[in-house]
Amino acid sequence: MSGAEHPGRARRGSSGSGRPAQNGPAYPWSHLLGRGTGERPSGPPRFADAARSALGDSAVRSSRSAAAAEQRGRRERGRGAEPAWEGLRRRATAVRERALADLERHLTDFEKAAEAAGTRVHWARDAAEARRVVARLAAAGGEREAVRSSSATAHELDLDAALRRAGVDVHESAVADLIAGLTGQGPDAESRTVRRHDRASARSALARRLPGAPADLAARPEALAEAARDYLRESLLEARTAITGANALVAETGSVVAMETEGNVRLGAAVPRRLITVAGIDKVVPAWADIAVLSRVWARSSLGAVQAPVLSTWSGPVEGDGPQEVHVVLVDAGRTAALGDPVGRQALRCIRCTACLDVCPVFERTGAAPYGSVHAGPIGAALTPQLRGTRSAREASLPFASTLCGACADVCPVGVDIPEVLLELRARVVDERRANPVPTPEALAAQSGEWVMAAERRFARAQRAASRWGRLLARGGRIRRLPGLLGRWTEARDLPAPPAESFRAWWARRSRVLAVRGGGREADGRARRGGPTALGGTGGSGAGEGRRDG
Amino acid sequence: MRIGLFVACLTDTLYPGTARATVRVLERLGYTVRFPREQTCCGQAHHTSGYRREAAALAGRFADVFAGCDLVVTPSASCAAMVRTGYPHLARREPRAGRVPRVLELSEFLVDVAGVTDVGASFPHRVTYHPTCQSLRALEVGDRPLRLLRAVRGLELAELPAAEECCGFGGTFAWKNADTSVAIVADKVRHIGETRAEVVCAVDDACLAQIGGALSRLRGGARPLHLAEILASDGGAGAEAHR
Amino acid sequence: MAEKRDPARAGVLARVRRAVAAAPPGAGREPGLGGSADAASARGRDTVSLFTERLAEHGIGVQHASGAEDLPRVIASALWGYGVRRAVVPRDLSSLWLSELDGVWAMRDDPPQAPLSVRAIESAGAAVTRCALAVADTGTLVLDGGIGQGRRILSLLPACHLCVVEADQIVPSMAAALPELDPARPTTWLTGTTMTTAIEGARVDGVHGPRRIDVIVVG
Repeated sequence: MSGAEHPGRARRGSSGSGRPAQNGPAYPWSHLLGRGTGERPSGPPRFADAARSALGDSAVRSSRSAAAAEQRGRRERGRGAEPAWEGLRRRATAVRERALADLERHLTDFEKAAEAAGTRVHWARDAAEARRVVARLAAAGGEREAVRSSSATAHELDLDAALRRAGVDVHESAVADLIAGLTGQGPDAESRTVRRHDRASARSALARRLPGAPADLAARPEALAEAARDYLRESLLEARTAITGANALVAETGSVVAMETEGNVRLGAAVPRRLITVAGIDKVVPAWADIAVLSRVWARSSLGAVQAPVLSTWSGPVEGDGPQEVHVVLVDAGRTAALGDPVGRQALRCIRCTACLDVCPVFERTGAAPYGSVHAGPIGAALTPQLRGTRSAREASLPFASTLCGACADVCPVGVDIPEVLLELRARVVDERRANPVPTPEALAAQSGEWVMAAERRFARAQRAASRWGRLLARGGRIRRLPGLLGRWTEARDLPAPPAESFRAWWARRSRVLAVRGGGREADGRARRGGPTALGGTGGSGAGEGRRDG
Repeated sequence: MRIGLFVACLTDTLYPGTARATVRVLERLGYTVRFPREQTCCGQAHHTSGYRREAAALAGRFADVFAGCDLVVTPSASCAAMVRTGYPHLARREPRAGRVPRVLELSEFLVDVAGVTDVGASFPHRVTYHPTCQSLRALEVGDRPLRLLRAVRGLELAELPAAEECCGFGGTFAWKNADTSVAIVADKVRHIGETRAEVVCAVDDACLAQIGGALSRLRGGARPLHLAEILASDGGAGAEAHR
Repeated sequence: MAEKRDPARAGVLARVRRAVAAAPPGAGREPGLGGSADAASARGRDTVSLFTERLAEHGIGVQHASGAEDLPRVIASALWGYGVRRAVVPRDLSSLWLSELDGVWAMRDDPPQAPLSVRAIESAGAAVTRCALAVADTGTLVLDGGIGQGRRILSLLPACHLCVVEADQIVPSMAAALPELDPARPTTWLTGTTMTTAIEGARVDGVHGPRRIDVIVVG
């Protein structure tokens, strides 16, 4: 190939390309023929690497898949039962948008109203500050124990570890979390959504590790749930401090809103003397009336039900009824970074219904672990890189952990266009890495790909070269092994051998024939009606001329 | 009406039969299409991989290449979706991307513009249809491809279980997350097997490459065919000759 | 106020301000005003019959009392049905309602002066309360600690909760219920009984909170 064809040289000095001159061939795929640098960045694994081991456990995969299918069905029926789902969804979206659009005022209104009702409001800029605040509040007065209900925010901030360091033992108050703790599983999004405990492992965990559990505990869900319930109830009744999350904070009234199925939040907010609610600043909604639409879409999207079995609200201590010391900790921890992104901010509308998880083809296969955060699935991929930034390899890999199929956006009750956010984050990751001194093979392929596509003659030449090369690699009409990074495709999939004549070559040939027949009048890229049969027609006499695999 | 034909770079190179079949169907219905030779790529792969600068340049180019057309038809749903839903996002960076003619996926053109569902095809085989994500959710083609298939003589349509689930292709996802991509398509292949169809049909060669690649490796019984190839078929023996 | 000088508070609010300025919200897709969707199914329906229907869907028993004179007998028969010996009731529940209890001891909870112990409430077989409101469209009981409802644990700990709903307390929708309530009070919205699906996805009813809720609709 001539020097003038070389992307490195040809584009030097053109608008901000700054790409290094290359000495190798300029075809896009040539950059992908190596294995890359082979370097694995230090730190937590990238999504793809973490997913590999998760995919290996086929028993877990099939039970997760069955659970997801069941959840999808339940939620689909729930939405189907709404007379005006789309309208409800638009209203819920508007509530969340209004909240974020004037977040400062809503936060200060919430603070004012909650404090007027006797609640102490605390603020935390990051996770470390939140941990300090919560640990201080929980340990005050020499308290050594607290019960905590399921809360994505509490897990996100890793509150339990900080509480233990402060000398406060944390007890889970939800059944699934209790069993997960007893079997040594970490808290993650699955414990409250897709993953369930099978009866055998739940029985052995409860019978062996739960104080007071009968030794002859039956391995039936009812008996197991009852054993867990009896233990949890004791723990809740004895507790002097409860820690909860919140589904919403109402700016107008200073109310905390919590929705649940088990009643452990209701109990935790009614018995202990001290109640600490930890919530992201994104949880605020403007008005008391907004609870109607929000709870409805949450229940439909989370449970399929018309409402959660229990919805509780409180704004402060009540004499003679429940906690006498009520706290709310408002946490930023990256939320303002998301808020400042015109596209990414919509992810803050999320109401943690987890509907997007169960429709995601990726999450269904990999589970929550590879996302490296309590926020898993599509919304996790859209939210975590915004909360934590995209500097580390794991967070930078999350926006790419999606086929962009759009099923998540279809079900989101607050209209988060998750694929749109992921695309935005992908562009951010790519742009951040454009400044790297050594571009990745992919970046080089993308840049030279664009250069090749920018001129038809370069494209046609590259296409001919690729086709020749592909036919050389093929055996029996199919390519079973591609080299280098391209080989990720052929690890488990074939590719057809490229046909000798591309469509554009065929079109050009046909146009020449037509030009000769029609005296040149139909030349230049226009086919005459009916099409010539001299060239074997346009599709042969039947379908299937293209040599696809199969 | 000047109708442009846009052929995805993947189709052009690996599956030219899809594009030839598209031309055949359109011409059989009496439409003259032009194929602006300068066309190369819509920029979808760049866009979905995060290379916006490059995608915007290709989008601008696409707009120029098809400036002389009133309407563009393409047998690639994801490319049509790129132009219709992706270009507006690139228009801030590249204003030309905001000035493209309307791009229709083949089934949309046939049902909405040509107003036909019976294109005179004959294809005596058991066929199942996989609605690709971009055709289903970005373009919302609905049941147009199914209506076209139902009108094909001799064709027996088999319902695909979990049809609306993604095939796991996702552009560079198929490489970056190859293991997950393969796990997803393995289920798709299993569902296709359950239909006992001879042919799995879709409106996007990229998804068909993923499904076909896995069918080939996993020795699934069905073969992949683009909708255009079925609609172009007159049921002749040639349908089998190449497989 | 001390909080106003809190550097964390100032820091968070300053970041919020900067973020909103950097990404000003769009035109704000405001919803059309129109009727609320969650009342749609309630429109044109008799709220009492809709409420009764929804309760049945949630597995909640419904009995009807024609009026105040009929109520004591219905309450008594419901408690007999539970087979309980003791029931807890809030301080201000009408004595007339309990006038026909025969063989069931009604224990009054009167905090903060004379509260029952948590254990006493827990070991009672049933609680009898009123509610603040009820929502027809969703089959929801709303408690707010108002007259005849008691404190939160009263109706939470006993195994059975018998709730008396007067027909005129039933509103069509949650949207209609919210403005009727005082947000300063703790509110509890009960829609069916609690449940868990933690073990193999099998639904087990009654985790925390009564395993059985029955409603008596009066009037």
